[in-house]
Amino acid sequence: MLKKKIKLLVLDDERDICEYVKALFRKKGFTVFSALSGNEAIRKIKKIKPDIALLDIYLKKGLDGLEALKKIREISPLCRCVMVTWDNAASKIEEAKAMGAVSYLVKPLTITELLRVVYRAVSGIRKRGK
Amino acid sequence: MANPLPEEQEIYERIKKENIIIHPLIWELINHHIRNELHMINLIIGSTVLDGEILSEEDAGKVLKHSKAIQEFLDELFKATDKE
Repeated sequence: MLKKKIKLLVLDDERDICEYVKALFRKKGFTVFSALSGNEAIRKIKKIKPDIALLDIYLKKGLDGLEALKKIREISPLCRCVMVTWDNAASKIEEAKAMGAVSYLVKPLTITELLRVVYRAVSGIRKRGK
Repeated sequence: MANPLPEEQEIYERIKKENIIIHPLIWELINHHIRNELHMINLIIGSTVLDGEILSEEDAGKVLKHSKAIQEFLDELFKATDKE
């Protein structure tokens, strides 16, 4: 369990993905929010100021995940953004990292991988807080 | 993983040797559909296994839905690319 509740936001246009990720991290002691579009994510980030954001890149409408990443970096620069997408193109990975994403995960991934990357981000937050 | 075809290794060698490629548009479709559906299945099954629980009927239904979506995508792709 976590010492202080970490706030995590998941952005994915697949409702089921949001629900399962929310359930997974709630059980681990996180406070979790979800957004089905980039625009919804930005609205919630302004209000919630999450510590970590899991961002899908390709979304059905509105801002895509990379555009959302750019805005999140402006609104909440301390938020650690992890991209989660099917696109394994090296150029896309470089672009996301250059924009400030701390990790880039290619779907499909296991729960263990997802947890490992998020806990690494948590560890970064804890170190920063010391 | 399904059992390999009797000459699967030779097929891979031939693909490399003859530089047989898949059009990027087809790769995009494959990556988008298959990777997303598998991701969903991983989340459903993975959460259940992690908690040491038994897969509920609702979750089993969702796995079947995503498996069916893969099948439908492959059928659609086959229809779009089969020129015979």
